Amino acid sequence: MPARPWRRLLLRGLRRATVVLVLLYTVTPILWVVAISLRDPVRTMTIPPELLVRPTFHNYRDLFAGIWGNFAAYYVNTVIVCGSAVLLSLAVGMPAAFGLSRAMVRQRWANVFLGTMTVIYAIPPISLTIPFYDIFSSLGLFDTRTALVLAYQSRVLPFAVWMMKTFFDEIPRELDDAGMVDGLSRVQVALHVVLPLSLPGIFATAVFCLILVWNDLPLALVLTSTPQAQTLTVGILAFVQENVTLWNPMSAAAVVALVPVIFFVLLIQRRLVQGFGSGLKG
Amino acid sequence: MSHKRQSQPPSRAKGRTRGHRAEAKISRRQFVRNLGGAAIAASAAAEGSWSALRAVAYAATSPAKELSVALSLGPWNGSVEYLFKKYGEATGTTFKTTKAPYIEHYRRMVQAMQRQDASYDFIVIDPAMYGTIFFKNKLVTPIKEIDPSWKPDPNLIEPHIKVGTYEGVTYALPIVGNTQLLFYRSDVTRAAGFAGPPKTINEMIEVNKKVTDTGRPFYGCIVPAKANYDIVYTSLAYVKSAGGDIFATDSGPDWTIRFTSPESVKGYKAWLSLRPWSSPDSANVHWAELMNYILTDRAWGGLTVAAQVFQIDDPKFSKVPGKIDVAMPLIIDGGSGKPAPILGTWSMAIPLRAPRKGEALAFMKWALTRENQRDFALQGGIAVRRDVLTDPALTKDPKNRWFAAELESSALGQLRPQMEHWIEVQDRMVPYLQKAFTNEMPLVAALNAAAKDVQELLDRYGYKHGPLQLAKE
Amino acid sequence: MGGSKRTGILLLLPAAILIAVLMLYPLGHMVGMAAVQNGKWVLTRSGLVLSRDGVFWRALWNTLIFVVASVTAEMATGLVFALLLWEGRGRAANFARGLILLPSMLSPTVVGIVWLLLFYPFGLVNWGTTLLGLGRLQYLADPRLAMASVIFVDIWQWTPFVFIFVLAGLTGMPVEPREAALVDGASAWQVFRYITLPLLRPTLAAALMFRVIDAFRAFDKILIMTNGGPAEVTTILSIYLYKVSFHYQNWNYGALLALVLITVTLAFHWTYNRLVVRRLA
Repeated sequence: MPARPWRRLLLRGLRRATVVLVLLYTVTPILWVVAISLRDPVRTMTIPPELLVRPTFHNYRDLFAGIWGNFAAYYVNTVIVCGSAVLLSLAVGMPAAFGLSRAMVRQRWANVFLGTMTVIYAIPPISLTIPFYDIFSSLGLFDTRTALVLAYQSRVLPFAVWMMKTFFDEIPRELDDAGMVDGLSRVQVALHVVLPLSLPGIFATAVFCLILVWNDLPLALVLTSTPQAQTLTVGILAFVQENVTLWNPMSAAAVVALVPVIFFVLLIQRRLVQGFGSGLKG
Repeated sequence: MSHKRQSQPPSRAKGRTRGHRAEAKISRRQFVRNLGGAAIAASAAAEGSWSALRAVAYAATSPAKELSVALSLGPWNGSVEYLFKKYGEATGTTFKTTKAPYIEHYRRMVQAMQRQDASYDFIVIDPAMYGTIFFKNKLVTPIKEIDPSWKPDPNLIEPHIKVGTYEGVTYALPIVGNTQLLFYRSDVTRAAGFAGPPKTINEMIEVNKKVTDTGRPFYGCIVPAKANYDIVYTSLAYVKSAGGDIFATDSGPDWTIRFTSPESVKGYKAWLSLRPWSSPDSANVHWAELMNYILTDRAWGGLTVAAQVFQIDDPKFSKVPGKIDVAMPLIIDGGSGKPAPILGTWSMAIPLRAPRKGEALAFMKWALTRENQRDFALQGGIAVRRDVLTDPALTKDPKNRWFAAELESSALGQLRPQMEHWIEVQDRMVPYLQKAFTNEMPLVAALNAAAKDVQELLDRYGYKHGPLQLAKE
Repeated sequence: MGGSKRTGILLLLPAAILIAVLMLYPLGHMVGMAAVQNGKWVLTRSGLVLSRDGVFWRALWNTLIFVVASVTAEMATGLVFALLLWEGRGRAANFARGLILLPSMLSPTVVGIVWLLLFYPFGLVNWGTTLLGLGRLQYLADPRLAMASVIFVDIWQWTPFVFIFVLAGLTGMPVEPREAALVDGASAWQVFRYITLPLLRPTLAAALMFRVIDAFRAFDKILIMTNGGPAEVTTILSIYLYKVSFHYQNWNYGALLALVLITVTLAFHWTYNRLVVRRLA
């Protein structure tokens, strides 16, 4: 049938074209951010928009020379705070998720717990800033990384518990039972049977949690005041000033803030998709 | 070994061995969990006590000659910090500056003053913060309380002091003489056949017509109308020039609404009459974008603030260095006959519980002397002294061509209402002014609707006022 | 079993402690702030003010429009993108899938700024539309277009989130049912509609749940792009809440607004769950 292969080729071409369009739509703004980071304000808004401009790297140089604040410190703080926040949420959330999943908690308690988590997750971050400010100030923890790590739990803990519970749910109970028949204790079953199988899912949870806190603004803004604890998002906001917005150094800062996340996600990308797949099987 | 033994009911026979092992394992697990909790607690305690220790150490050992100051981030930081350095060299005082992005600085200062914070010796605030900080609540120390013999130097431009004065008591001294200025392209104006910048609205419309009649996209006077206080601030200059105002008095006690009076309506009408030559996205244009239109050779000019002046000749920002000049805000024909620039002065204020009030005031007085204001101006700062803005050695430099207009604008500077809830009143007016601007509502209807909302606010917060007189067509 | 129940509680304990101390206290604090000011009970008066507050009701309406439109669109585009890209193998396909994730990884402040720049009358978007002969539009300054533009940016930013969920669902799906159906002569559309989609339901449900809650909290980028304007068309509840608390310094009314926002979010979430998710999953 000569018509058929022709139609298939057309469909394939259409599909390819759509993919290209989708990628363009997704990536163009990001390319624009990079482009702006490499030029001066005078070439940023022009009629018509100038697509190709001789690049200059002084925005990046200025960034790390500390002209716009101590970006090296912001970087370090962000990595430490976000990493610790994610680790803490996993450490605390994993047992909780396991308990909820394996029905070790009575249904009613489980529902209360999950319900509370949802309520916490639904609180707008700006509303949490003032109570957190009061708590941490009175504990003497204002402008510390510990305060941020704890405050961020309001963002990541509910999410982590939910996701990990879903992954644990997908691992059939029969495996647990089989393990116990073989002579393993409940704990050993947890550590040696369930955990390894859900490791990819835990990776996925870690990535999502990291993305959740990496770009948080309200909490970091209100709970810190010096580079000893300030994060990249606060550094970026410094460019939005009263009478002028410094788009160009801000774009440089945005690119710099994006790099570790990309790196981390690429590192985990394959595991992520695999993990999700095994975790959320229909 | 801190093994916590978990007392468990004996498990069923089948799992007895397992249960026993599980018991031990669980305790170890619990131990690990306890350890984790202890680690978190230890870290918190460490950082907490470290901060507390630092605070104590700071108070005990900080040199008597250190001043703690809070600023917001802005392009004027450089010139002000230059003053700090110079003072340090002269007197050995060091400055501990805390900076924050504007929005956060606003929140922090208001809350710090409300809590009677003692961590700052003085703070730098802008008029948006005056309302909650010192108008009614008097949360900073009056200058005369620290130095009863203080009198403002006659060379300090009086309105800048007035802006920090409430009910006759001066609470804050100016540091950045921010005021409204009309930025415009002098070369384009001349080329269109005009001797100088337009002074009145009608003259402006003439200029608009000529300068936009080129082949390329080039706008006239840009009217910023984004949904923040720009729109109220910019239109207020025209309203006041027409003889109108927002309220009957700037500082009470009579808060009768006046922005629906015939004079005010004339001012708003004049403001709207400039629309046709403004950019098509004006309803989302903020001062930053307005300035950018001028700097990139896409518009003739617009009314914005002096703080933008650092960009006009800098090739990083400006495509037309040397070609931008400044003038007074426009006069409304048939109004008061005078321009009415609205002040946006940044001032220094001393909190109620500042530890070193005398030293802070000493620095403030030092910063306002002629010699230091001169140096401040040389560093790009906006001076607040008449003798510095007219100093021939400074004015002969074409880089400082904006001094004369700055002086005139400051001398004629007008206040915004000195009311605690001014921000909220502004926010109630903004959407209606925007609707009038985008033609969604006729101007008079918009002003009347805004007046009703503002009246409700005044009643809710207990401001005394006369009856509301709605605008007529 | 007795041991199991105790273990369960122990497992939950660290999380429960963190929650109680760190989150229930702030929640209680917020309720307190909304109800009491300077020792006086202000809740009833604030409630009356709220009921008469035109801005609040407009913001509520805007929020509902925003959430429904953006979440629905995000689910659709996330699904479509995942269907287009999940089968590719090799470096190029992996790279493409990685690129799709980028928008979600940008800080919302930066997203706001870059789209503000792109939406300028002479920015890239209008440049593209003029090339295509569609003329120039005022995306953020035109009151009729502003909300749509803001929704568009939200979709751009959060489609990757849905994409990743669906991608995972697709790669984890068992192959046999689809192959069997194709062998039986089903068309591609039929396979999708009757086999793939039902198998994707739990994934879609999970994505939907998180997106719905998150959409109510959108804030930074709208503030930067339009500051809630023009004429309050893009003022959603979170923006109004921010202005009341941080600009007017009216903390107790702001706390009340926050509580209302949380209630609306949860009510919406619960309704969605009942009506949509339960049916899907």
